[in-house]
Amino acid sequence: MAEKEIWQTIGEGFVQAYYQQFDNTDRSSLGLLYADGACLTWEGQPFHGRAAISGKLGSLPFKRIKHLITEQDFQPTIDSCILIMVFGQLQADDDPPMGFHQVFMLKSAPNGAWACTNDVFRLGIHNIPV
Amino acid sequence: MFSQKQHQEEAQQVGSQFVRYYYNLFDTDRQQLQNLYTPESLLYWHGEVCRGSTQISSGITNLPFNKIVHVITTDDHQLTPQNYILSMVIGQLQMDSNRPVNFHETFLLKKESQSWMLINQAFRFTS
Repeated sequence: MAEKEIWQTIGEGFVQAYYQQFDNTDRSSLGLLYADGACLTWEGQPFHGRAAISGKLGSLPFKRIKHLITEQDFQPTIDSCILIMVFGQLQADDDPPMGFHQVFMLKSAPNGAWACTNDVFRLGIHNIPV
Repeated sequence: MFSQKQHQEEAQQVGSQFVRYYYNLFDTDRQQLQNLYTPESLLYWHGEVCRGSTQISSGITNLPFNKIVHVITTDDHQLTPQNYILSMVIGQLQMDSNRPVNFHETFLLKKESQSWMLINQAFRFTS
């Protein structure tokens, strides 16, 4: 049986923690998953730094949200970061489910903890239906 | 001293130009894409792993279509702490006269000498 690469294990752990917190908490602690100078681009809007990111994620206008991951890819980078690409479906409140696309970059801190330095999110509503 | 905001705006500009250049080259003469990759570049094509410019270029050149057209729907770009550019593209592509399909692609660019090189890339169909 092939052993899972370390970056895949770390990446999967992050993805699981991220969406678990996103879906099942008030998202007030999500900011802790990000590094100090992290960048988030949310539907084309940029947010810099943990406080701004926390503010954005905490103020999203839905009561309930559920993410379902369809595909996820994990890659190591030459400078020992982890690049993650996620595609899935989400449902906010009673709205119809929508596709979403998200990319994360993880970097390890001197104490060995991994944090997100880059996060790009888009809903999959922009493509013309095929 | 540039502010983080200025650096991010520059990344948006460079990234935006790069992805358009990439898809234009892909659509017109994809053999030339080899020059954008390094020996350490990593490409995942729908989960399949290709490493290094030779393997990647060969994989791309041998994809089973004559004609391809990529259309970018959205593209977002950010600077990473190591000053690489991270790009996420959502778009549609059409191979030969097949029906268009949705795709999602991520690029990581690193500046080497005066050129931006693709060091990580992941592609998936999403429809």
